[in-house]
Amino acid sequence: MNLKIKSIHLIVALLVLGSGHAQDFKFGKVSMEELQEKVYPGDSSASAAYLLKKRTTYYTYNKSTGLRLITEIHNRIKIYDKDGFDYASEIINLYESGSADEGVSSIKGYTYTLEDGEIVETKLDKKDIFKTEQSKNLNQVKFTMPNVKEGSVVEFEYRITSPFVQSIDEFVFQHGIPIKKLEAEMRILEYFKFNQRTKGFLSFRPSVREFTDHTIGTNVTELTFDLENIPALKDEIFVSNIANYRAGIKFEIVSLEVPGSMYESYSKTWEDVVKTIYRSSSFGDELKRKNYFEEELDAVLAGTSDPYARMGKVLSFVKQKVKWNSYLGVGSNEGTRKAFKDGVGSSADINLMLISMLNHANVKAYPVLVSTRDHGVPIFPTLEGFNYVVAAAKIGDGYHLLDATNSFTAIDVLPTRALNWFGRIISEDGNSDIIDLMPKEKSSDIIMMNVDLTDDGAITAKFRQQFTKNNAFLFRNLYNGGTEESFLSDLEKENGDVEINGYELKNNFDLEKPIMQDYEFYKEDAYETIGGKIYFSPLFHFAVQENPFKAETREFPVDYGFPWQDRHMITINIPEGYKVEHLPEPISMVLPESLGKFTYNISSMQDKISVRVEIEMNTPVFPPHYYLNLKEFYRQVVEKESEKIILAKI
Amino acid sequence: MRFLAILSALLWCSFSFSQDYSISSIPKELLENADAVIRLDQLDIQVNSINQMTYQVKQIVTVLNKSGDEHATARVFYDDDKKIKKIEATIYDAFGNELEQIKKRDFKDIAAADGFSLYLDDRLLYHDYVPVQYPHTVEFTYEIETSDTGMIPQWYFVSGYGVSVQKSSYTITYPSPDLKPIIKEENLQEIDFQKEESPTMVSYTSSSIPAFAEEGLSPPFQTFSPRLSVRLTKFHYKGIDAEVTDWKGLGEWIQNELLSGRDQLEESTISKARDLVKGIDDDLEKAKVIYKYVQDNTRYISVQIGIGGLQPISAIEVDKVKYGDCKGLTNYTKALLGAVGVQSYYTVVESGRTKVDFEADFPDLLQGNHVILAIPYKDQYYWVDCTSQIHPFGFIGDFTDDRMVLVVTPDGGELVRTASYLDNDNAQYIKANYKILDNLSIDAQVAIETKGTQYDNRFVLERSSKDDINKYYKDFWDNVNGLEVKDYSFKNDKEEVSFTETVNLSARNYVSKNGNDYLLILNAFNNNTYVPPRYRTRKLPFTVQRGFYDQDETLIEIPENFQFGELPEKVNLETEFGSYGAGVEKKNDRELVYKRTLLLKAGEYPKESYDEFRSFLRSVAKMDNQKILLKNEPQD
Repeated sequence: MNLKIKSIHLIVALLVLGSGHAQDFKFGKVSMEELQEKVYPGDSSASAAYLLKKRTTYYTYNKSTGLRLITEIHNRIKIYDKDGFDYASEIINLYESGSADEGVSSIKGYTYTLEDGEIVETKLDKKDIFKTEQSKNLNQVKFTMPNVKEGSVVEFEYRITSPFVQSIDEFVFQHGIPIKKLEAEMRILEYFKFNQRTKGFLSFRPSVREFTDHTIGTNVTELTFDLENIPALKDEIFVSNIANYRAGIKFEIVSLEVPGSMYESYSKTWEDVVKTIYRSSSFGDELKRKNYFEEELDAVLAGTSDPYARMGKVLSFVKQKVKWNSYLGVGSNEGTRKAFKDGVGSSADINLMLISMLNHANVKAYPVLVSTRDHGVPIFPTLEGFNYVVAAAKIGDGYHLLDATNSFTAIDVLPTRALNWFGRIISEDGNSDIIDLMPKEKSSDIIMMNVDLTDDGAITAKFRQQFTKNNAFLFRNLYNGGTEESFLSDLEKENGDVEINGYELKNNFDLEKPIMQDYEFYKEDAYETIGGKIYFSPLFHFAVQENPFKAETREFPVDYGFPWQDRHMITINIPEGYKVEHLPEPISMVLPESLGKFTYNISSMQDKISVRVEIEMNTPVFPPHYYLNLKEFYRQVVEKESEKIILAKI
Repeated sequence: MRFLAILSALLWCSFSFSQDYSISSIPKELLENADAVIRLDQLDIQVNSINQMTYQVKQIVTVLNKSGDEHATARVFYDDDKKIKKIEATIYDAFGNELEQIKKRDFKDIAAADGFSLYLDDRLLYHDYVPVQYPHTVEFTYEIETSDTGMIPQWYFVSGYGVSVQKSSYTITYPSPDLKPIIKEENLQEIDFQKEESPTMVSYTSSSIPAFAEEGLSPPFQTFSPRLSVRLTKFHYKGIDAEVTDWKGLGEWIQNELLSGRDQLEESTISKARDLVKGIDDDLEKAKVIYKYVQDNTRYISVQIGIGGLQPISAIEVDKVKYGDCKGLTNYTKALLGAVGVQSYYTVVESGRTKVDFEADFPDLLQGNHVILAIPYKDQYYWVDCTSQIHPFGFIGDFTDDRMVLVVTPDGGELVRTASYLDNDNAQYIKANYKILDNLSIDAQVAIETKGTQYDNRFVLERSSKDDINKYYKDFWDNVNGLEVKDYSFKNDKEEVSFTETVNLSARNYVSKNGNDYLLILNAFNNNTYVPPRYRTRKLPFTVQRGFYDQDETLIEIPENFQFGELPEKVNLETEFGSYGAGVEKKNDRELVYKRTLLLKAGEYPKESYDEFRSFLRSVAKMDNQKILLKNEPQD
């Protein structure tokens, strides 16, 4: 026996603590108290809760089948009301690859219901368990528990056997409903080295024990997580991806060593990660390939010597040659050469090609590993932490970020999916460094208009709007996604049913320049006459109408994706026979540390009123402790922008 | 038979030689409002016998921009009784040069998902082409063999908005007169078409149909778009033969083949049901008790296997697991009602907020997507939806209201209209008072009572969390900046189908100060800002699916040192679309009573009336936003 006495004490102590509650978590030992409970203590809005969520993952070895990864699940769920019924169904994903596939066995389930004060048990029938071949690589086993009513407790367990011993599904510690008690156990063989990546805003730590598994003949490290009263995870606006904040732990493989037979290293430090990626043929080799494009690219670059201009030409060349097929990844899929030939490729095919072409064009370029917004924020050095790659081109001392997967990206304007904190820039010698992916320069939305009041409450205006950087990127994707007819009709609707005439768009395809749209519009009911006086907001329908932040508090950052500024410069012609009776006071206010700013200036001269209103946010992401500042900031913006100009008869 | 096959093969070939894939040959009028142009949409159906049918589809679509992608999807559903014999696609560039060929093995094979079923046995074969350039052309062909002649593909000459059609062709052949399909032509006056007929074949072709642009409040697309409904009187479906000439016969078929014997219950369940209604004589009262029992004890789970797409799982099975889909739960409720001697009928309906009628002259299996229960009582039907655990007995809301549905009685089927909630039935009564404080904020008490479909929109509030309710009110009153809900309570009267909300709230700076003027918007709690979108020239008629009636009365109190400015005149608007009235009366120097009514009538209106309709709602929005001046002058 190779038990470490100290650890045992620790486990025992935890067990004692854990059993302070009178609940019995053995399968089938559902108590009267659990059935009688009406609401979840601590969150009366919960429609269901995990009374127990238990998972144990470990390895077994058998001569005929080899090494297998086993995951045992045992869940006990309380259903408080009808909205909680969804939690009485379970879907088990089983992967299949070639001849290897995962299987599920020992499914057992009971529903417990109080009927006339008696506990009634209803068994899950085998024939109510369905298996579907979801797609080539995915099978699903699904069931829903019988006889579920408000107040029921459902309990089920099953075991998944997987031949994919290197990939361990994420341990999810937080759901849309609270968890009363969570137990998770992971037993790792000493053959495997895994990195652990914790996620979310909860703090937790495993207790660790080591022992020898004599059936396999190796040492085992056992991690045990024992958590209680985990709150539900709730979504809010301006959250890039709620799953980023979900508590959990991921195990990502670092190396596999079977003594005397094999050793395979995957990743460990950042440098190891980088090396692993560069060494893999789909990445490093792809960066060196260039004979397939040389001739065509040279023709495109002929006559251009300025490095910045050459960089722009390469970017548009790649975009024009290859379109993105929506596949993500760090390594090339079918190879850059094939992507070039077919005109279609994955994000890695496209951006590795871009890097290789930039280098060929004498613009030094490096790959930057990125985790997309949907994929979460990479904190620890792991291979699976990244799922995307973009290019960083060095001109002088500065880097420029480039991505050719969308027709409307530009130098330093990445698609929104790639705007996710930090990336890892890597060079061939294996050196790497973090690089900020978030845009530094503000994307602007500048409106200039000249307004005339008509006799009947309407206005006519000459209007110009300019978008830069990421705002221009978003605009171009929208405008070019459909017909101009439908774009204009949407634009008219969004602006409160204005009538647009003489629409003109500039720089639609000149991506390094701002988007510029010019038109005239007519808007009904834009000002009011009360008691012979005219009232209107200086911003008309462009005023911020309501506070986007409605919740009282917030746990997650407010993520805009990029810093921005909205500016309105408005000239209003005072109708003949009227004079200004009142103008709102100019004001300005700032958020703490100047992270955001609102300025409001207004003045009148002879027959004109000039208005200049600006909101800017100098950071792409606000940590949650600024939430109340932001909420109050917007309350004041809404209030200020609703103030009226008053014109009176002379 | 052989002759037929050869003939269609010949037609197929002769056609493909003449196709021009380049975009230069698209007439200009087909590009207007179009995200995609259907160059050719061709369906050839061969009914070979009552239980054997094959058909070939050929679609050539030129996609002009990204929004047009959805018109060129290569996807086909199939199941055990419907096999895909052949499937392929070819992509061409704008000049008609071939870019790519997609073979059957390149298609992905996945389980179909409808978004709500736990299990479906339908599958989907699809290929997602990544456009490398716009415009491009996708040619998609496939061939199906099926035994289900009970569901013959329908034909839409235009499949939706934003797409024009260069050529559309539908052909159906059949071996003998008894398998001759009945074809109903709908809205064909909209297009030019040619029809050909022989003793064994019917075909329709049409060319150059411009795209429809989408407009708000349009009637459902299928009610005005040119299309064909097709059915056989003798058909086969999921292993069962049928002969149906009218709805009565289709009802009989459903009764005999799908429902018969599935309403058996265990003795213990029967006696339990009888216990529940012990001492109750009235059938309607019994039905209420049974419905409540079903609501409290079952839940909705959809599992669709084979003919399970049409046939309910047995009442015994539902009784055991206490879940089922609409068919299973309805059949189970019917069985329980039967056990206590109450008659009820299984009813097939096309559900959804948009009202769709079963077509009286066209009995087929394609109509209907939901099942409810009809309970006859004293010469009228009471309707219940057994998939809802929360709706009051006899109230079906806007999901299945006011439409022709198929009621399956022991004597066969009959078409009946479900309960209608007419304009005045859908009422909201607001009684509120708010007090303006010295700091220009308000304190308010608001009571809202809703009925009819407005009840349906609101009664779920009582089951929402505090956070969601707070958010709901902030959105509902988004015209009031800085609104804070202090407390609220709800009363849900299921017997009367009436829901009452009582809310206490406050809002900072509700009165806006501009110079020396204080502006007050009288109507704080039912401010209609909706004005239907403007169209330079409206092309489609419009409908108001459901009318409603709102009546508000608000008492407004101002602080001591304030005075009212001039008060606006009373307004009364009467139009064919509804009426509006608003007015304010001074109660004393510090109190006003604001009264308002708005009636919007359901109806179908010609496009010519649209401007007038919009102008009515525009006036409402304007009047609802009416402000008065408050003065703050020292009094003598």
